[in-house]
Amino acid sequence: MSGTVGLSSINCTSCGAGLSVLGGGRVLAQVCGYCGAVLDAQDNYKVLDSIGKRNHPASPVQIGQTCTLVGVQFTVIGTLGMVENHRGMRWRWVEHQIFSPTHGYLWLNVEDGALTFSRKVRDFDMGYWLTPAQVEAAETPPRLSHGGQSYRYYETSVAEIDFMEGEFNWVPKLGEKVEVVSLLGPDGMLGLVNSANEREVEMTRLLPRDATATEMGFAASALGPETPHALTPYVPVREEGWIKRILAATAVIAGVMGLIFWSMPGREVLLTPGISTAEMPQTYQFEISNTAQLARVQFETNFSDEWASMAAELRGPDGEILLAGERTVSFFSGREGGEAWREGSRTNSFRFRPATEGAHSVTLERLDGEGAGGTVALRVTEGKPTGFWVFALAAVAAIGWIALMGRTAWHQKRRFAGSDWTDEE
Amino acid sequence: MAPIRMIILGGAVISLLGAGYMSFYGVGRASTDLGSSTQSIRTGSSGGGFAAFGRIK
Repeated sequence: MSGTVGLSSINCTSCGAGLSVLGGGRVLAQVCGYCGAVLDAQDNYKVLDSIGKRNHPASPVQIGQTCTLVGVQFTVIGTLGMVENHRGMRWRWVEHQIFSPTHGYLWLNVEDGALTFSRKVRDFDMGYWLTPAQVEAAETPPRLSHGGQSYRYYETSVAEIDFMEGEFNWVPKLGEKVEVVSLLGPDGMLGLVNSANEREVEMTRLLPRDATATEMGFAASALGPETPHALTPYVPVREEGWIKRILAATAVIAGVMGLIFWSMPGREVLLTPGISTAEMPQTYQFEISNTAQLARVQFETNFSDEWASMAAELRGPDGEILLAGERTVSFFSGREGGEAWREGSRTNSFRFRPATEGAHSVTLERLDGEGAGGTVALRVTEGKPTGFWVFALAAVAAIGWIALMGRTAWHQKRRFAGSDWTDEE
Repeated sequence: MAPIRMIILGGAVISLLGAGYMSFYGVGRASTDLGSSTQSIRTGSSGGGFAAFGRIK
C-alpha cells in the first residue's frame, strides 16, 4: 500500500531538479523541495516566488506516499510546516495536502504524535459563523450544531506557514496567516477557518495511528510519543449503556424496597405503659408466633435532659433465659447563643430472632443513669423486616452507575483539557 | 435479546430477589451484642448497675 506513485514528473524551471506531478488538474502551485522556487502549475511552471532552502519540518510523511481514508486511496502531494506563536510559546505541526482523483483534495495532519485528516464541510450554514470576538464576548463556551451533533468551543489559533514543498491547489505564501476557531464534537473537530482569501469550514477526524503509519510505510514511533488527543474516542465497556440502565433501575427498585421494608412496623405483640425507675424491675408477658423473621424490643421514654442504661431480659415458654439486651437512652436539649439544640434520642432498641413460638416474658430494668422523672415503656414487635440488604444493594448499584457515568465525564474532561476556554469569575 | 444482556439482567434480578429475601427475613441483622444470660450482659456492660439487674431473678 505504501510507496511512491509517479504519474509524471517535471524539471524545476529554477534549478532543474526532477519533481513528481501527482496532484491532478486543479493544482495551482508547485514548490520545489530542492531550491524553494514556487512554480505556477497552470502556466508552464513559471517561477512565481521563492522561499529559499529551508529545513524540512519533522514529519515521517513523505510526498508520494499513499494512505486510505474512509475507503478511498489518497496520495500525499504537498507539505506545509505550520507554526503558532502565542504569549511566548510556540507550537508546530505539519499539514500534508493529499489528493484522490475521485475525491479531490484533503489534508493529512501530523501533530503531537497523532495523525488526523481534515476535509472541507460544504453544507455548513455560514449564518452560524463564529468569530474570535464573539468567543471573547461569550459567557459560556459557544456551541454549534452540525450534522445532528453538537460541537463545543475548543480553541482559537492564528497559525502561519513557515515551510512548504510540493503541490497545492492554491498558491501558498510563506508567512500566510490563517485564523481558526475550533469546536470539539463527539468524534470530530469543526474548524472555522478564516484566511486572507476565504472563509471555509473544515472537519478534522483522528486516524488510527499504528494502522495508518503501517500503511504509509513508516513506524508509528516516527510520529513521536503518543499523547492523549482531544479526538481520541471514548471506549465504552461492553454493553455499557445496558449496564448503566440496569444499574440505575436496580438502584431505584432496591431503594424503594428498602423504604418499604424499613417502614414496615411488624406486628406489635407487647406495648407496656410507661413506668418510672421506682417501679422497676417489671415483668410482662407476650406471645411470639413468628420465628421466621426478626423481633424487636424497643425502649420508649419521655426523657428530658436525662440518660439511662436500660436492660431487658427475655425468657422463653419454658422459663429459661433466652437473651438479655442493654441499651442506653439519652436525650438532652437546650438553647445556646439564641439557637435551640437537641442531642440523643428518646428511644433505642435491639433485634433478635425468636427460637420458638409461644408465651414469652420480658423483664425491664434500669441499670444506671442520671436525671429522674422520665418514664420508660417497652414495645415488642415481631415480623420486622430490615431495609439493610436492599439499601446496601441500592448503594452498590448506585456506585456502579456513578462510576460508569464518571468514566464518561472524565473522558470528556480530558478531551477538553487542551481547550483555551477559561471561566472568568 | 443478546445473551450478555440476559446475563446482566438476570444478575440484577437475582441480586434484587436475594437482597429482598435477606432484608425481609433479617438475615444477619439480629443484634450481635445480646447476651444469652444476665451474666453475658455483665460481661458486655458499660458498667454500673448489673448487680442490680441480677435482682430480677
